[in-house]
Amino acid sequence: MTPNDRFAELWGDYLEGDLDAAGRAELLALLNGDKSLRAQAVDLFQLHRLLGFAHQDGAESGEAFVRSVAAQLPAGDEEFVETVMNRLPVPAIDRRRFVVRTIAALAFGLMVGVFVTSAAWVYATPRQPAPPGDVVLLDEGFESSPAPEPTGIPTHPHRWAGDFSELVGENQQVRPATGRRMFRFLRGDYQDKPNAVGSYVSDAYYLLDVRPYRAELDDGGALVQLSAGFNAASFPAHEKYQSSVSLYALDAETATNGSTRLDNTLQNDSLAFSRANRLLLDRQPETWQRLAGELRLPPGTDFVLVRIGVAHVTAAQRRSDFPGHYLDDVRMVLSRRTPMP
Amino acid sequence: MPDVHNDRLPDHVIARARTGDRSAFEEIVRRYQRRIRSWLATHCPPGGDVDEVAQRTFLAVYTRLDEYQDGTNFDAWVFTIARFQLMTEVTALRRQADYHSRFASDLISRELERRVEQPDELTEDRLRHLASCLECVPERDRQVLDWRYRENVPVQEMAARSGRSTAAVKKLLWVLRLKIRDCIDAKLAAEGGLT
Repeated sequence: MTPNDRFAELWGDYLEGDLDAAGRAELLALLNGDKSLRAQAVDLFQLHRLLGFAHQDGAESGEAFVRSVAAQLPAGDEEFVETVMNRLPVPAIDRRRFVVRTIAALAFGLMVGVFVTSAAWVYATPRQPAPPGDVVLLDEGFESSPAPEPTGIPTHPHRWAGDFSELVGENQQVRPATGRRMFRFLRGDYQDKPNAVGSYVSDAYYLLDVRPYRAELDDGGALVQLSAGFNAASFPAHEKYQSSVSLYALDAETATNGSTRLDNTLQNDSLAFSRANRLLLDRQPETWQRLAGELRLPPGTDFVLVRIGVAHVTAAQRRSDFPGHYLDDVRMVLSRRTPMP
Repeated sequence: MPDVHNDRLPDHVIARARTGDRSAFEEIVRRYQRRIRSWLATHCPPGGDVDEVAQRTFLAVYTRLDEYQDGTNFDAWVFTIARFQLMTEVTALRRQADYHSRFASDLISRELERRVEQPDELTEDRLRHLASCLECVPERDRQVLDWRYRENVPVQEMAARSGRSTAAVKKLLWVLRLKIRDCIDAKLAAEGGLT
């Protein structure tokens, strides 16, 4: 066998990820001693990468990339200020003080509204009980909920809807985080979804009517905090899945007139929104991971739309089905944070 | 996805993006993503995450749009940012203690680094010729390339699917890569793009 033949074997194994330590040492010795082999190795490495790119290339992959960049764009400076302010410790208050403070703050409520946009932060910690005085808006264990509707973003409150999903009991060695049932993500699309091809994110939505709390919202000091548990059945080590939670503050007309169902309008038409993601799901079905996000509600908020999703992370694995991804123990509280001066 | 090789980005799109118009910025990403991602795919060393570097490139473009001087070459400006992001990735990879032993790639990485200075258009030309060279590959062999590069099927499974031995599949992939490389080089040489 000539050195070139041996190089072909070793470099082929390298590109296939099959090269062991002994092979690596042998390959290195070959490459060290021969400049033309190094050039050939790099030629073939570049071609290998280009073949990978060409086979994944297309409108669908390009648009997915555009969306992935758009989702990471930083918000304005005010979000940074808001995030910093949100991290300052503020004691919880009871509901009576909540209302009193609201009245006191009315004088500068409008000004606060100008500054308040959104804030999101991520953590993966055990669930904490709501402090006294907070209002629990949603405490969902999917025990008695009706089946989620595969109809996209809901325009009626207090029901789960979104992409194809189902409620199940223990499944694929995943036990519900609480009770006997949990939510299972099935697909990245829903019935009659326009442009369904290329959907690689499966979303669940819940619309909440917060108008009963209007008096407590209108100085911009109200805050909703959302926390959700995620789990996945064991999946191949090379795959990556990401979870996300988003919150949108909407006025009544936007929430119910169907406009939120149009592509790319939700962020633009919201009074404020926040998104928390980057929690990569582990491959341990026995543990649940929690992800949380929060949103300060601007004056004029009538509804809060909750969006919870899982996504295929890498371009190579993106597809619309989800083989075993679960959601449980979703909780949202309305609390109070001092309005920003 | 439009092929925008020779389509200059209108100044007003840049101006709108600079004011924070996200849809204008998405237009910029849409126009450049294919060129940047394919260029990074062929220059990012083993172990690097190409799409992550591409995302960081565009985020840097977004945050530094104010630094772009109107009337200068926006393509070159974007590629300069991509080069810097790639160098950052290369440095980060080299700093990983076990990088060399995991990827055996320091020599490869340095050769790739040298090629970063080649014209950006060369990658686009290679990509263009790759498409026509693939059309010359027999259907049965194209299926193997499809399994490997579209579906990421392991070699062992490709062997089972095709009724070949694992060694035969590896050999076939090797031969196909050589043929495609030679085909692309011949087309580039015919255009005067490869000396």
